[in-house]
Amino acid sequence: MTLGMILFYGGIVLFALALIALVVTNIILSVISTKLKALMDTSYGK
Amino acid sequence: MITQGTVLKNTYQIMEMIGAGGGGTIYKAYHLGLKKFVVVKRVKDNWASIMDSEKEAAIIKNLKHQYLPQAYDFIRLPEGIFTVIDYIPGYSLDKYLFKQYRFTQQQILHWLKQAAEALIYLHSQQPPIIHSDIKPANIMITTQGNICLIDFNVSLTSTPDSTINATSRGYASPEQYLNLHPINQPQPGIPFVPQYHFDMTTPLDARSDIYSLGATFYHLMTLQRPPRMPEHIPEIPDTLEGFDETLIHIVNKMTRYDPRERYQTAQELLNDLQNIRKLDKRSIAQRRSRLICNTVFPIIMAGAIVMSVAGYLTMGQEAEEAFQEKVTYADNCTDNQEYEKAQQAYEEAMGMKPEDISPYFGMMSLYTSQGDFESAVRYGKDTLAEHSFKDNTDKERADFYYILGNAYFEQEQYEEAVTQYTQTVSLNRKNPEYYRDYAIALARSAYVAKAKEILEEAHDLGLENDSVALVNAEIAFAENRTEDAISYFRKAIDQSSNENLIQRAYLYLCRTYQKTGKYDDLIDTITTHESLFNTYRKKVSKLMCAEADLSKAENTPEANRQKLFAEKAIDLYNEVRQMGPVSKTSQFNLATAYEYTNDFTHAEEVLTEMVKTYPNDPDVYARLAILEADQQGQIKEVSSRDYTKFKEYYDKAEQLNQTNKVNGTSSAVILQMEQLMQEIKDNNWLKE
Repeated sequence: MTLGMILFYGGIVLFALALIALVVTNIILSVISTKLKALMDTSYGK
Repeated sequence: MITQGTVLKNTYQIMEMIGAGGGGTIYKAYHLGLKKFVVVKRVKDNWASIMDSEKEAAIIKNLKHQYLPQAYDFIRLPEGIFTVIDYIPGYSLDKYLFKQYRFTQQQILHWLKQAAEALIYLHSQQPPIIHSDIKPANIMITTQGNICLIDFNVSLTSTPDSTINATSRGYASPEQYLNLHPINQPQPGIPFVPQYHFDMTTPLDARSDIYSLGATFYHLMTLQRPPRMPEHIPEIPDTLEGFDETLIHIVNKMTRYDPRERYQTAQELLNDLQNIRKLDKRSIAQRRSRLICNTVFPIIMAGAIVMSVAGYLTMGQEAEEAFQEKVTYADNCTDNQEYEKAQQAYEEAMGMKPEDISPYFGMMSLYTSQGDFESAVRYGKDTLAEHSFKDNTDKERADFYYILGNAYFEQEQYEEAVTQYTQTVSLNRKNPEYYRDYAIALARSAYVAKAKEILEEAHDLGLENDSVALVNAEIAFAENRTEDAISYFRKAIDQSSNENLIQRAYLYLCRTYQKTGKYDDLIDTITTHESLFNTYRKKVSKLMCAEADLSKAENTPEANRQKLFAEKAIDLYNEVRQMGPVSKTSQFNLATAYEYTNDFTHAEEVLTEMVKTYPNDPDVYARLAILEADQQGQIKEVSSRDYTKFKEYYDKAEQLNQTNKVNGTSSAVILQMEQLMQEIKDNNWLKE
């Protein structure tokens, strides 16, 4: 495994992981956001 | 005297007194014209004396806002000054507070926003109207659940020097207290009612109303009246049940002692109230998380892309380095005569970059280094048929054509060599050595005029004198000027310091000796300068000596001398065979040499060995047939001769000759064999 291969494949893996993390985190945040909105509707009114 | 039933200004019929406060007495009245209830407020006498009725009536009448009561009239009568405003059905907040009513956060927020809007309206008037008496009692909650900010007359009466005031304890801003100066002292036996002189040494602004509104809502949220003395209101704790931190912080900011720390305008307050969701720490945390997520991950992704691109470029660089390393290693192996390792390395390099010419060139060098020009030619032709090497430079491709041309040249296929050299110089016109070898090949192909022309071009390109002499020698040889040729070759050898050129010149000189039958000169030259030659040329030179000895054996009538020369030739041929593969002609010559020494066994051995190498070559069988005939010819008693084996070789040779005949003609060996057959047949030596 050369440095170039480590960088190339490492970059691809890192990109994929970051993309998955971005999507998953956004989904989680969207769920939290929905719940928070409901919570705020209760707290502050609609 | 105002009593129930009194009609003011023939319009407002007093119904009942509904309240009395710092500003005056309040009556519920009936508007006879509009047929609706109104509120009539009698302004206290000491205030009335300072009110500018006309101006302030106009201001009050012009105020129109959904959270402010509509003012209808401003009446100056002998009984006093009256203001007429909307009757607001509902209760003021102090009534609810009196009952310890606990409001929800939603209600608080809703009313706070409405109050802020009302203040924005009042503060935006010209001149700005500062309510200056906001407190629970002055905020009505209508039957629709909205607020109505009442009793803002005081704001109109604020003058720089006055004994009136509307400083509601606990709700008035600290700066309002600064405008109050006590004018009486408690006396024994008399109930003390403190009186103050009020002035405007500290001018009030919007921040004062914001404070009072904050104090009011402090009371609503905590159900505790703010401290009566002008001191800091303790901050509402974040943990106050039923309320979020954000709202608590807003109210706390409204009630800061220092006006500079409060909201500076009601609009600023309203903005925060409207954006309370955004200010909520949970919302901030969520937004921060989203920001981090949408910033950090894309940055990582961008970094990953950069990393991948860098990796891709590095991989390309590494592949190129590995390829070059492999080719260099193979070249070194070739130089060290480790041919198997070299071939393997070149093949691996080809696997790395199939369209790069370097390893193919290396393979050609490998074959030519071993003197295997036949393989070099075959390999070169196949390679050019399969690859275009478009990505390589013209110079690199020229080198490949050049080495292929050299292989053809060494194979004595000069026409083909000329073709390859033509390609070479068309791709690289700057190398005079290409022109030199091109001219030599032309001379050997008998294109003497063209050879001279190319020599001229080479000369113009700066061809060295030794090379010029070499080409001139070849041209002279082609023109049968052998003495000139020998002279030029010697000149080339004398002038050159290039080992390769010197070796070539010696070999070409010996070739001239060979063609002119000067075998002794040839053998003498080679014997003297053998140490100069590289492995391959040493092999060639030995073959030339062997051929010279064989020629001498052929040309010598004396049997002993013939045998002597033949034995020398045999020794040299066997020496050469030890050095590597030899050509078909040389093997035939070796067999012939054995024949001259009457060693038919070894001669047959050589030819039988050749059958394995050239199983489909009719010449080998023809040569075997001739050898067999010669062997039988040695038997003096004709009847004892047996030409059965000869016949077998003959038949095999003829069979192969039928399929392998080139242009319908047979080789000299076949013809010689057929002649022998005819002789045998004529003599009836063949047994049935």
